[in-house]
Formats: sequence, structure tokens, C-alpha cells
Amino acid sequence: MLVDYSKCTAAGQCLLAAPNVFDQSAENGTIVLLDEAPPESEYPRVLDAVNRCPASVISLANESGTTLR
Amino acid sequence: MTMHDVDVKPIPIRKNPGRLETRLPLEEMNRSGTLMKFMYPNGVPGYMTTTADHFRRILSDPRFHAKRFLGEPQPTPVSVAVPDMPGFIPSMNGPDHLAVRRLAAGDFSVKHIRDLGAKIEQVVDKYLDETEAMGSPVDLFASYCLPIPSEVIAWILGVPTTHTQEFQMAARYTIGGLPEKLTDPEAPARAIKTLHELLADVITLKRKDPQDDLITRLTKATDPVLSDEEIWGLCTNLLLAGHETTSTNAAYQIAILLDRPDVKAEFLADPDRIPDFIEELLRFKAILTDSGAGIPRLATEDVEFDGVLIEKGEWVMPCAAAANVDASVCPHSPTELDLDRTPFPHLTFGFGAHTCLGQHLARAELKVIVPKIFERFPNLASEMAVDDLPWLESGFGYRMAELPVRWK
Repeated sequence: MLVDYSKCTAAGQCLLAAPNVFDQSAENGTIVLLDEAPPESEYPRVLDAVNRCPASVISLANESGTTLR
Repeated sequence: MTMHDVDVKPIPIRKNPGRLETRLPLEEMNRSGTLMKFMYPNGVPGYMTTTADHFRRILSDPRFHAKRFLGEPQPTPVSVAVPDMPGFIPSMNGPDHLAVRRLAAGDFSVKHIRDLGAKIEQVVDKYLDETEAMGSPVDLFASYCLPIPSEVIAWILGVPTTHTQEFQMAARYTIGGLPEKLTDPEAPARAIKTLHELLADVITLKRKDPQDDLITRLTKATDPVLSDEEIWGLCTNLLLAGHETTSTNAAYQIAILLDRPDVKAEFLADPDRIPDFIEELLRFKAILTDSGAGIPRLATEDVEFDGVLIEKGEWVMPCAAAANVDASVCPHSPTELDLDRTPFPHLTFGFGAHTCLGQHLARAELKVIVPKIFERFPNLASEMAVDDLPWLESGFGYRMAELPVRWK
């Protein structure tokens, strides 16, 4: 999972989608990654977070670094 | 305007002045899948997005800039001239915009807003009591829906109680005041000036006596440092953005439920699902989306978009109403209100870097304001059908003029 903090617009969608994986900074509302390698049971929620993020901050890559989405 | 804009059709809204009538052919727009070009009532042409995909792409594309000023395409002759204010984030773009937005974003985060739940309940209860004391019949927009969001914003900003009443009055007049006062076209500009003076006073107070509130945090910001003018602009922005919109949406949702007893019964039967029901009401009808209004984007260079050449200097209006009836967002009977839908991410709060900063606050307020009025007045009834309610041209486009109700 790759997170581009520079693009984060602090909309909080990732926290709503996958609260075990993402949080918002109390200071400026931007994305906080709680779990860099979430268990498979979290995948649907992580994918939801990827799709809902209005600023395309989160992307998924496989082990060789190829971006999946 | 270019020469070929002579043939551009007027945007098909506002059939009857004074009533909110969206005649945008949303499903047809959706099926067309192309950008549509309309002439707006203020004589400025602009493209409109017709699908959810367009909406997301235009709002994510850094070649399109958000810009608020009187020369943008507007669905109405806007009564509130938004002054050119430093710190006003809907007119900022790129990294500068994100940096200033983030200074306020912590106070509007999911968890911070969750912590405000008790405060919101307290403000709502106060205005329920005031409405009850006024007696039936009453204009519920003025007595209940309008004052709650501005009082909550005042609390978040840290406006001291000594200034709250003046703040509330100024807030009301920034959107033109109540209908009987709307004959004074200078009222909004005067209210903005009053707000300026009031906030300047509060900023000085916070610099001397720091508190745990947003204005104090803005006075201490370092990345970037904000001038008093920028703090004033940002605070005015937060008030305007969260005041008229939430008030009118609350009134609109209450009016819809009063008009549809079957839907109201379903809404009130399952308190745990009220947050989901509010989402569907926000998708189905919301003030900005239903009026075809939005914050338009200006092309900063020529952009080829799905076969359409958008020239540098042309406008694109992101249309959330069309996006929200797109099959990719809402697959079944999208033009119908259906509280049983599985929650899904509608686009009423926008997309991209300017996605509504106050969306969690709006939701937190609506999920208290809307059900509580029916708890307090179980036989609340509207004096008018929802389609007959009067609307005014106002700051963002439209707002409800009044919501006359009675109870026994």
C-alpha cells in the first residue's frame, strides 16, 4: 500500500471506509496509516478507501512494485 | 465567450421564479455521456458534467482551477458578492490551497466532529425549546434550521459568548436575512463587513488569551503563518460554507418527510439507520446539486476531454445531481428516493482537493436536526406541499425562503 501524503486533502473518507487501517491526524486531518500490511479480511475495506479517496492518495502495488490501482 | 457560443442553449432551470425547479434532464444527460454546454442566466457559457466519471475526473484534474468570482457561470444572479478574501479556500488551488485547508481540517475531522455530538444536541434542544415557545404555526426554517449551523460553527471557531448574538445576526444577513428583509440588497455586504469587524476583535482576543479553539490554532499556525486578514477570510469561508447549505438541506429533508408520510414512518422506525437514511436524502435532493449549482472550474489550458476541446478560459460546472443518478453510483431507480439502499459513496459533497471540508459536521448536524423535530412535535405538518415551498436566489444558488409548519 502506497500513501502519497502530499496530495491528502483531509476528507476523512479512508477512516470511514477502513477504520482499522487508516486514521486522521488530530492536528491537520491528513491520512495516518495504522497498518501498513493489513490482514486479508481488511482488503475489501481498503479497496473501498482507495475508491472513495477524493484525492487518489492511496494506491496498491504488488511485491515487485507494480501499481495495481 | 467564443463565436460558436451564440447557439448555446440556456440552462434549463428556473422555470418559475421563486420556486426551486430543477428541469435538468438528469437521466438523459447521464445517457449522453458527453459534456453539455449551456448558457447560464448571467450570460456566461459553461460546460456541465453529465456522469459520475466526468465529475470525478474534472474535479481531480489540476489543469482545472476552482475560482469564485462574479464572472463565473452562475445558476442565478448571486445576491451575495463574495469579496476577494485572502484565506478563502474555494478560490485557492494547488499546494497553497492544501496547506491552508489543512490548518482548519483537524477541527473538521471525523473524530473531532464525533466529539461534538453532545454540543450539537445541546444547540438543537435550545432551538427546539425556542420553536415550541413561539407556538404553532411557525416558520421552521427561521426558528430552527437556520440558527443551528451558525451557532455550531461559532462554537468551533471559538467565538466568545459575548459576541455570539452579533455573530448569529451577521451570519443570517450574509445570506440576505429573512424574507421580510430581503428588500435591502446591501444587507449581505454590510453583514460581511460586520463579520469582518467582529472576527478582527475575536482574533485580537485570542492572540492575548489563547483558548482551545480553531481561531486560536489559526493565530499560532506556522506552515503557513496566516495574517489576520487570511484568518478572517478563512473563518468567513467556513461560516458561509457551513451555514446556508446545512440549514437549507435540513429544511429540505424535513419538508420531504412531511410530504411523504410513508417515508417518514420508515425514517423514524429505525434510529440506528438514520445516518444511512440521511445519506440517501443527501443523494436524492441536496440544495447545491438540485439547483444545478456548484463551484465551477476554469480551464487553465486547452484540454481534450472525451473528444470535446475545452479551451483555455472556458468553464466546466461539476454537476453532482447528474453524477448521483449515474448507474455506477446508484444502479436501481436512481431518480427515486429509496431509504433501503445500501449506503454508497454519493457525490453530493464533491470530489478532488476541494471535497467538502465540513461534510462530517453537516452529517452530524442533519442526523440530529431532522429526527429531533419529529420527536418533539409528533404531529408536525407542513402548511404547503414540498413543491410549493418558496425558494430564494441566494449565496450558493438557492435557499429555502420559509418552511411554514403547524402542530397540535
